[in-house]
Amino acid sequence: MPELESLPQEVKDQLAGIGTPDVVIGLTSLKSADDLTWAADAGKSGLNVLIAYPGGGDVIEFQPISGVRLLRYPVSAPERYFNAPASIFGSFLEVLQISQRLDSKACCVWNSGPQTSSAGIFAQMTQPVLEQKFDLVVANYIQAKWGALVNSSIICPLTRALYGRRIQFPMAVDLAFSSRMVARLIQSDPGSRLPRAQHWIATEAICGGMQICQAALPMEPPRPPESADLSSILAAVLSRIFSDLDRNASFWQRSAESQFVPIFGEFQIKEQDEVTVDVQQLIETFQLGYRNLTEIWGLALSPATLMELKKLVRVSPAEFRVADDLWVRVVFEFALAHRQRAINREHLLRAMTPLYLAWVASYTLQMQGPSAESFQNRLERLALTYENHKPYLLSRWRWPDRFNP
Amino acid sequence: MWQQVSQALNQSVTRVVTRIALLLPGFIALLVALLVSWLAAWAVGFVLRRFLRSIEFDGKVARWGLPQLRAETGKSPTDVAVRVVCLAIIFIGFLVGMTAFEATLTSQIVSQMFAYFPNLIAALFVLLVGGAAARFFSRSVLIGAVNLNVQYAHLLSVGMKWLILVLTGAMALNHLEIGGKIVDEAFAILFGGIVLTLALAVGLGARDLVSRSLERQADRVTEDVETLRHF
Amino acid sequence: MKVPGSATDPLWFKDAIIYELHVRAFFDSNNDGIGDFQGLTQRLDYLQDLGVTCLWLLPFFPSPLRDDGYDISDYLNVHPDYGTLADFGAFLEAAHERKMQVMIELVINHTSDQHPWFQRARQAPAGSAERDFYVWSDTDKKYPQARIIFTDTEKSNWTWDSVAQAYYWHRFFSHQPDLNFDHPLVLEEVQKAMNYWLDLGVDGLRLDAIPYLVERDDTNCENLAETHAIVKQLRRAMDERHANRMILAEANQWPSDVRAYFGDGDECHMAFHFPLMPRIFMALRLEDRLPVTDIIAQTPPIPATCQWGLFLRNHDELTLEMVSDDERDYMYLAYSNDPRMRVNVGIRRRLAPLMENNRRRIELLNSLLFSFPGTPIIYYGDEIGMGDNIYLGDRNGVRTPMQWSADRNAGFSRATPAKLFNPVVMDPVYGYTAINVEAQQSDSSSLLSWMRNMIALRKIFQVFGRGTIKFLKPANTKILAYLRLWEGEAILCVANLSRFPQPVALCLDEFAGMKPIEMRGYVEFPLISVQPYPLSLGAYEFLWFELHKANLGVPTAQVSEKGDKYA
Repeated sequence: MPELESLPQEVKDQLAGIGTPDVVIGLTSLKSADDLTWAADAGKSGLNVLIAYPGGGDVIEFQPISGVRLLRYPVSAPERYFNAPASIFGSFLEVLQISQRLDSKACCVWNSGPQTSSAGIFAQMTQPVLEQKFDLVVANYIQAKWGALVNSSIICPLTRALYGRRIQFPMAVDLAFSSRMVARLIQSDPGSRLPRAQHWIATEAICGGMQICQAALPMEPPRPPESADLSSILAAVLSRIFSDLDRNASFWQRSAESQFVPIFGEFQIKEQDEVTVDVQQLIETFQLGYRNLTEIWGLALSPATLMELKKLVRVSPAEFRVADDLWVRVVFEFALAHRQRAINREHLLRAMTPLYLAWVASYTLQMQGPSAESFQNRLERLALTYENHKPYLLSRWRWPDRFNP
Repeated sequence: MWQQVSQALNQSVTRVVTRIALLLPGFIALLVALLVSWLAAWAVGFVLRRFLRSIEFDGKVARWGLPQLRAETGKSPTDVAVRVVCLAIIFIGFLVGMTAFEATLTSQIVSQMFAYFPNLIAALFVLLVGGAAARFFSRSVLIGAVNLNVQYAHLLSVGMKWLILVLTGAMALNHLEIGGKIVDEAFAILFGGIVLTLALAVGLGARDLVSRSLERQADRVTEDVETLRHF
Repeated sequence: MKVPGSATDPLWFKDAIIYELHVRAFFDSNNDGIGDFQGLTQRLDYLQDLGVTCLWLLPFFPSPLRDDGYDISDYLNVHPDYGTLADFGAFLEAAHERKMQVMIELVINHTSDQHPWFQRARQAPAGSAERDFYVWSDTDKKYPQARIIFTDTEKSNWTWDSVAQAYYWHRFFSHQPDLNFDHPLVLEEVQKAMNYWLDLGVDGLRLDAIPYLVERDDTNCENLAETHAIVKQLRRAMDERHANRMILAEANQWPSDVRAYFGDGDECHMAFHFPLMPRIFMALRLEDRLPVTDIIAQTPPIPATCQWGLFLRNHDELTLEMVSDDERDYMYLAYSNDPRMRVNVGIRRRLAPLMENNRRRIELLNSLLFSFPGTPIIYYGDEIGMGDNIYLGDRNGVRTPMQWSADRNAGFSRATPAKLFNPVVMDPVYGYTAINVEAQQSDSSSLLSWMRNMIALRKIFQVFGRGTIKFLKPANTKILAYLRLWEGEAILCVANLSRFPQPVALCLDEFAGMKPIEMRGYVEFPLISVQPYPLSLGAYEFLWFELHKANLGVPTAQVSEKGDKYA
């Protein structure tokens, strides 16, 4: 990780001559000059825009763009945002540091790649910061019935229940910040001694009392690379969430009911009836997990939860349903086991994959077919179950006695 | 006759007493060496315990994936480490004390033991690390295989565990210079056997993996049917 | 010569506090590593001080000890390891002097294969009187509906005997052939054995494995009418010769099946309430009173001269035979994460380890044991919170030596430790240096002191042993609240099954105007009204209240003319 104040001299020299841009757009991947064709429209917005793009590889020659400055920043050791593969994310902190040095009013970090970039999107992302004085703008991607299921089943409802904010994509990788938020993210967290930017951005903003909103974008959430495997990414995401629960315990244990977070722009929904998924295989993975991983699950899950899973193993595929309260208990109990270090954390979180796949199988069976309820209603019910079970998590967190139902 | 008997007895007693008198200083020196080493062990143990507590050794061991150590031994990693060090110091003290006895034999024995000591420590260390690694990796393999829906997950996990244990055992025996060629050959046979078994298991299990992977590739080609996405 | 029992009240067992112990595990007086009667006699003062009133001795008869003495090879003697008949007599006399009753085992369903009867039977020709002392068959296909009880060790209820050239029937271990009660001589011999011990002055008999006495085709060979007839015959024989004795049935059956063992007050005096016991543990773990209230609701009324025997743990595994499959699975998950803790269809752990050594849980369960309708039975060692050793085979893990002190062998014996019949418990939590009688006797906050006080408190109120029970149904299902009622006396018991504090509002309008007085401290609580009575209970807390009329209780101070107060 680069030192906070150690931007290379060449970058510092370039910064000295830039002035104070209104907006810094930090791209974390760029392949060729064609990826910046949208920059001309950005230059016409009347705002002073700086586009920072990562170096490394061949130097790209750009034509000058009116109203837009370009800054090439060196990519040091790849930053691991949520420990995800480095190919997705570049130097997140570098961009923030540039923005702070230049004292820009808004900073937008764009991780979804150049193919989704457009002047309009960046305007959507930065306008709430510039005009409405929000501190954090979180991308609100197209909500798809069969998309972003980890977000639907865990990240979104858990954020809502514990942190009290209804953010649709709390772990969105495309974000815009105010200068206040940038300053907060660059600061070190006293507990972990890491820059706050290394933590979960959304919860950093919530716990810091920042004003948060969402920008509805006409694009789907970025996909992980083909080579990424579900188990590793799920473990990485859960590790982030559960570690943050530890750090922010004093906040979420006192937060009240969830609040609506404003959305700018028109959010889109993608309802689809048909999906190709081998539900049988998902159920088999769960059954295989039950046969082989019960010893590990037993270290995390309560006897009552294990009993429910035992019954689930025996039902026929047509009747396979993971009840919402069972799923929520599974998530919360894994969070507790993560905190208590019952076993090696990596093993613990990877062992949750078959349980997640069981939820996916159940969700698929429930939501397939034209007569199924709308997925938004379905996920709303799940979110309410998370909220209703918060006292359960609280009681077990505060008094970690394993002698529980 | 009685005079001769009593003379013989006197001579025997004198020899015994002389022998004891010769040995006594060495015995006292051994006791002193043990006492000194016990004191040294206590002092070192005290300092070591404070040091390990200050660096949160127990927490680090748990993070390295060995939280079961306390459950299995009933003692914390700090206690185990301090105890091993103290016992080693007392043992060294015992060996030093043994050199106080005259005779080349005891000196030879002691110097051989001293020469062997590092091997013993290394072997113990290898066993400890190997045991922990076996547990860790077998569990990793189990979880990974289950997540890939490999039906032979348990077999792979057990195979991995025994692979590492056999390797560890062979390395430890090598350090201890026990068995020689027999150990090497036995190890080769065992290791090869386990690897063959695992290869078969992976091969059989991989058939399903490969066919599923091919099906997924085929599905991606037809774009008009939606696929489920986790992220 | 007949020696009378020590009880004068024919219903003495209703007020009893029974203490179950194994002679060989209690105290060794001759330092051979095995407890004996002389040692037990030396420790009677401890038991008297504890407050128990009846001692239940596990089998002490001559036996090859392949089933901890339940395989008897001589009904009329004492195993030499434990002493002599004279020692037993001295112990009995000493117990009676302390006003304690003594109950022994009468294991009549089966004997050891080393018993002379069986040795004679296998040699005797088929069809002869000697042969028919036991149940024989040419095939192992008879009585297929009879379940196997020791599922871990036995694959069949029949075993081939090469000497007899036939199969013999056994419901338990294969070295414990079942007696044939269709043979009149068997009942005669059993009566002889029974009378022998009753004549010595024994106050009670526990009939082990009583449901399995008789076999019939096309039945499961349990609880048959013929079995009840035999037990009634034994009861009659006992009543004819001896007064104020008691028969306790060990019938691990559903309450409706156990009811039959009371007859019309003419069969057994007492029977264990097996189904209640695992449900107490389940209710505690689930933090829900339903398992308990449900099973009590299913328990039929019993004759007024009869009594349920209640227990938390005993010398056997915590049996899960009388629960549903799901309940059994839950109990395994909740209480025995290590498969070594399981044996047959149960969990072989003591009370304290099951409660993870949580003092409040232990106290709560004991409070239920002492306040539920029935006679409480305490297993030796549970009064000090002894642990177990799951690495010993079979159920020996809960049969380790009594822990008297922190001295060698837990003060149980001065023998070489290797000679002990079972090793003492030595782990850091439950080991004898941490848990022993000597330490707890000098500690007024110890579990032993608490048990002593609770036993004494219970003995003050006959309602616990003789009264009825009525459950209240507060909305908070983590609260178990019930009334014990008898001859105008009313006791309110409230227990919090949860590990967190709980509020509760109890509907006590029928007692409106009465004053609850908390029993232990004699603390007056606010008067009951027609409104729900609110209470808050801490984690695992329990309260016992005497309900008094409002004008009773501590007299108020009177004020003199000068304004001074005097009582």
